[in-house]
Amino acid sequence: MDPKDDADAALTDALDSGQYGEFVDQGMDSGTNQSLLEARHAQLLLKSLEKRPVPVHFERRVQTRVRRRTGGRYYSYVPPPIGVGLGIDVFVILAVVVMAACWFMNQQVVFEPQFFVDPPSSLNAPSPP
Amino acid sequence: MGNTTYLNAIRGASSSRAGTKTDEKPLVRRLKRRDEAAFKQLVKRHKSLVYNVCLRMLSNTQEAEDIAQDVFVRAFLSIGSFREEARLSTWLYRIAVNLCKNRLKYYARRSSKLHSSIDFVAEKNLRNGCGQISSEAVPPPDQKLEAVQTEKLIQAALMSVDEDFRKLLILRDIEGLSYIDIMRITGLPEGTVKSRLHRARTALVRAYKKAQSNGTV
Repeated sequence: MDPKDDADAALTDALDSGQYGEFVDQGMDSGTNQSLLEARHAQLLLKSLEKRPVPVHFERRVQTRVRRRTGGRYYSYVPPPIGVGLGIDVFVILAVVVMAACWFMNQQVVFEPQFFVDPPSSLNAPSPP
Repeated sequence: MGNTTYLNAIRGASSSRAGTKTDEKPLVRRLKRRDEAAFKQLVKRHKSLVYNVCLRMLSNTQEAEDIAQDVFVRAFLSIGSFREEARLSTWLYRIAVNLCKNRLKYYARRSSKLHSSIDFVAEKNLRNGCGQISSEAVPPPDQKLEAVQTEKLIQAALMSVDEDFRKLLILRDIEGLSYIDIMRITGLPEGTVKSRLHRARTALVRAYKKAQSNGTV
């Protein structure tokens, strides 16, 4: 750090410590003394500034601006897309399980041919020889 | 004993306050879930500091309100990138300072000066810091006028110093932020913040005295 910067930083420290008065009266040269007093004056001036009240409808205007900027979608509930809360490994395992289940189900279904031939009624049936 | 000895002696006396994170985590969590009530709470809690920083940086009420609103909109839209290393207020200050700088640059590019428009008279001494009508005795008109005049001069002096100086003066002397917070906001090392702050203060006082002697605001 430049010696001048270092000295300026130290003067800021002096003001922050609140002990600047002791140092002003003691062995400092007049330039540093003057500089410290000016800094103190500035500090007091700025501290005297009051906070300004925020405009009345500020909060409402911010909300309106957010809604306008985001097309009204910002606050609305957006359902998370499928798989957002699911890790890829869990997803793969689930997919394999589902596919295996489908395969098993497919294997178990056996289509046997069914013949729906009515047996001949006893009246029309030819009498046994 | 030389200056250096005195200055080194007082070094140890002042130390920066570390930025303490308050119980903001639940609020941040809710903000990240885009909870509307949390956003309302954020605006309510920080609107005054954001608006006042913008007002002192720009010296124009309309522009300050516009930028302050934009600060919250930006904060809402980028809350996901908030890393929770600093306090929410520090983060908002940083957005505010950057947006104000951009606005000032915009006016500088267009070679048009931002018209100073703080209403110094209205509400002065009628309202306290919270915006409530004060029930205390109203000061006599001459005192009120003097206070208004002083504030005008200070604001004019503030606007006449360099933007980087102004930013430090506002953050440290008006808002009372710690050096840790100022370092986070400006990205400058502590030594640089302190040395620039000293120069900023002396520059402000000189500008103030000049304005006072000229009688110009």
